[in-house]
Amino acid sequence: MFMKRITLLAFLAAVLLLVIAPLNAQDDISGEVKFIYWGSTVEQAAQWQTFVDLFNVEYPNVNVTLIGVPGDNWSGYLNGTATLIAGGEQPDLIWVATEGVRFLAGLGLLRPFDDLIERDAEELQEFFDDVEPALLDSFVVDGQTYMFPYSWNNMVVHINTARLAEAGLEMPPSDWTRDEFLDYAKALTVDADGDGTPEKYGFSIGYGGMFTMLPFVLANGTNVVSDDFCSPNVTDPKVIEALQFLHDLVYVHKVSPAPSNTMDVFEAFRNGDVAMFGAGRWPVGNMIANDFTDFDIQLWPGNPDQTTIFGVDGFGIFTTSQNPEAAWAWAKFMTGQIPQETLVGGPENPLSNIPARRSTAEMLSQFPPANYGMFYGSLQGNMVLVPSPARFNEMESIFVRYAGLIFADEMSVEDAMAAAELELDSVVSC
Amino acid sequence: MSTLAEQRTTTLETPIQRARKPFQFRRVLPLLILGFGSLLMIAPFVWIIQAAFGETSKAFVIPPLWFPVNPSLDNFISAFEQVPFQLFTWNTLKIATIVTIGQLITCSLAAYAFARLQFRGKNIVFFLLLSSLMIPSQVTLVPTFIIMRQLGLYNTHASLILPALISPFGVFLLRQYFLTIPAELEDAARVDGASVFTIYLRIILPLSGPVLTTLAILTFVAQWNSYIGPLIYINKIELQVITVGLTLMRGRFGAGALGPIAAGIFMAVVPVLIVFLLLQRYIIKSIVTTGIKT
Amino acid sequence: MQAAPSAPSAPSVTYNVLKRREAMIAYLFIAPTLVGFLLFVVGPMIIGIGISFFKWNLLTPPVFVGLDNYTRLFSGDPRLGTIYSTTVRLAIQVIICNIGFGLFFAVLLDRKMPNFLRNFFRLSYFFPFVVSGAAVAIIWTFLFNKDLGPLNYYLGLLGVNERINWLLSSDWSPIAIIITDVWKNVGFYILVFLGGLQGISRDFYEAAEVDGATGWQQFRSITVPLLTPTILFLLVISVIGALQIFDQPNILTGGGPGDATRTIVMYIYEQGFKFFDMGYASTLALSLFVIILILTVIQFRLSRSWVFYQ
Repeated sequence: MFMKRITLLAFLAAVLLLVIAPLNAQDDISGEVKFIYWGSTVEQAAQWQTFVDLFNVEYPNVNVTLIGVPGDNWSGYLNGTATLIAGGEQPDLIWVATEGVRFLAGLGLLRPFDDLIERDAEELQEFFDDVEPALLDSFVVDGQTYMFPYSWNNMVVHINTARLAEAGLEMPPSDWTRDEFLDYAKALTVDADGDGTPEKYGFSIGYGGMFTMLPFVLANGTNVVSDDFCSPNVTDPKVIEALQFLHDLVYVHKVSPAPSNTMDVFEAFRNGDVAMFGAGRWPVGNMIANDFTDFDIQLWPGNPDQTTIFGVDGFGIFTTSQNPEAAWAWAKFMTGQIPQETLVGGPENPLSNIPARRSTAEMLSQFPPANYGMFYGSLQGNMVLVPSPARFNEMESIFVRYAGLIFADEMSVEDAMAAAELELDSVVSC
Repeated sequence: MSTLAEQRTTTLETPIQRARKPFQFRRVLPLLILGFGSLLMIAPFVWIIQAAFGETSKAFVIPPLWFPVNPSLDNFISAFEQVPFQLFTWNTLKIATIVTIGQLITCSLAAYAFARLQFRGKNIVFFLLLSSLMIPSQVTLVPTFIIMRQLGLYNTHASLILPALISPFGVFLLRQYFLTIPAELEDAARVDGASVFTIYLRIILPLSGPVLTTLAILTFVAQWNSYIGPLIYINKIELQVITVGLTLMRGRFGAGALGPIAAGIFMAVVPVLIVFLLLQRYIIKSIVTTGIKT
Repeated sequence: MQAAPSAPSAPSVTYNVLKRREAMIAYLFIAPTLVGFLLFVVGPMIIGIGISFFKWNLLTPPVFVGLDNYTRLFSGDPRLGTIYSTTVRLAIQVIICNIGFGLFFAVLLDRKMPNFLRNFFRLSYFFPFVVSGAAVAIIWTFLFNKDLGPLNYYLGLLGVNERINWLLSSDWSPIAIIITDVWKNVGFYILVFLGGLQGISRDFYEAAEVDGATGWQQFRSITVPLLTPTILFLLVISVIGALQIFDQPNILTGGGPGDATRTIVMYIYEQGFKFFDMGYASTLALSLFVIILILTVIQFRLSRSWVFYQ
């Protein structure tokens, strides 16, 4: 299947080459470009290579070198990238998300786009019109634009509809509350032998990352850092209440297993061992690839704010780039229709993130979930950008470390967050 | 304590049993314990083999399986689709081989000098080398990274190979062995006018087969299994080695199915296991002798 | 250390020339080792000491901060105490288990039994030693899984009804790491002990049997004393090794929950290559070096009173 996908894309590229190349090829931009992406698998490399092939149709004289940097999460990827640069590599381009923009910009590694945007304003207008302002704004730091949104994710609740039917439940309404969510989670939890350990869980907190925990905090109308990312806010009673709720899902209501990095949540969800879990669109590819369609999504439950989190990724240009023109060409190219449509996927190519373009997001209707509109549509509601201070890596690591103690049921939420705040004080500051 | 005492009295109360059965039992008991122990040692690996060859969705279930369900190579194919395993294997093999050969040369030369030759500063240099065994390689992690960067070797295999080409432990191991070779053999050759290098090459090395094999195996295995070095110095997929490659299969956010990972582990373990099974006589013998010598 | 053979009382000229030639050759012989040693052991040590006086993220120029990193080491790092005590506790338990089980199984193996059986046992105990720590840790992550792991399943059959949270609780995760470490390394200890046992002359036991000593008495008054050099050898290497545990906790638990299984080397790695605080990472590394140095010296000093050389 994987080979088919590659052949298909290669074919697509070849067709484009024949049709577009003579008309559009820009020979004046040339040279080497080193591009860093997050990934370590053959498949990821192949996907980026198809983009390079498409890019080369328009810019035949630019030679793009792909450098895959592994990582367990965005932090790990950023660490790897920083080590790479510290080791003497001089990349031109990086695929990076909100979490890394301030980190890289703070080190003076990212080149602002502003002068280039001004120069090519006309050409870019169509893109700006097609993208939700919140996505564009997410890459503005201290008044300067560092990237264009390419793809993004929010957090919605994924629901196994087969399990829902089994329990005789309807899909929850879009304006559901946290209490209703808990009722669903309880109703979907099965402990047939009554030993106190459910065989099937109503919900899964996931692997214990910060992104997947924050929606409950945001729904409480608060956040773990101040709005300007300049000070920590984890001892806010509303933050503590949200984390206490997460803790109670595991230990009091027993509707979710404790977060664990050894659990394959996607597989558990497909099997029905987990009936609901929080994620963006990133699991959809996995579901489709496994011919699993019995699922739908719903907005994050409110308490009372129906706020959820979002994070955006795009392509940044390094200040040290020897070939900024070619890198800029790539950044613009990736805002185009064709790369955007690749995000939608195809029967053989179920990529999964939400495209930045509104028009492209409409094409998500080709695939489950039926409620696909909640992906892009959530931007109309309350959305908060993932907290991403310059030292995001350290902040996340501290937060996750104390969350681990909370989920091991070894430290009270108050104590854990009080201790976390002490450590965060020096990390989240301006 | 009380239970022990009770047991003792019970046994005393049945003298007939005590005379025969316990005698038998005492002979078999150690074997039973040993057998149970080996079972515990082998079980995890058997389980991984089951997961590697079995159906992916059945690999990780309760109750655990010990034989693959619908055996196939699907997990191996999927492992190769996920990560360039053939490259990982080739890189690891290449690095481990170069390092092993390199260490055999550098260590045997130095060990011979320390065992047989007289030179100023011998004792102090040897002592310094030995005491460096106490420096955990992790202590020099950061500075070595910086040296590699200055040498332009970051993200090259040289950054893994160069520091591993020498080994104070290897020098020590070989020196101890060389000291046990009777000096008369060399004296005879020396009288015949053989040079120091000839003696080293023609007399010492041929007599040191077992210990050289040991060092080779220990080095090869250590290099094959090294993890933190490649984790830090190698940041390009196509240059990565098996150990870190395996962890890459766990994928983003820790998600990863057991089947392909098990297949990866199987492929990572089998080569060393073969080397080990072929040469185990040497390894066991030499570790046993190392134990005696010290 | 070998004593140098004493030089002839009246050295001739040729002898001196030969002597110098030999020294030259010796220097050539040790040159590769020495160069590597200076470049990758001594050099990094010195550079490490240097970096410890700076704040440096590798990406922007280093800033001299004087003794700041040392102040932080000694008084300003609330996590360091926990991490060192975790490291030391893990190390002690790992060492005791490895040496204890190693000796136990070695004694069991060191008796009359069919050869194929002995070989089978030796191989089965030793083979995990040649498997990479990373692979071992990944295997055990699955075995330790709370809900689907075989370990909890079989413990359940044995009557342990509560599913043990091996990797996510502060009480059990250190034990999980110890189990993994012992599974991987105990074979090495067994083999070294076997070597030691084979070095003990049968005569001692025969004499003891004549005197009517029981098996346990023989073990206590012959086997253990005569094995003390082996024990010292294993102790010295295992102290150095155990204080550097990295692969297993890094993969099994990531150091968690909290810092319950974070070892000092993981912390060095975290500070250096996750938070890019090279200065503090170097300072931490030096502290570990000093501790290992002191411990090793102490072990050798103390060994005079308990190690018995035949």
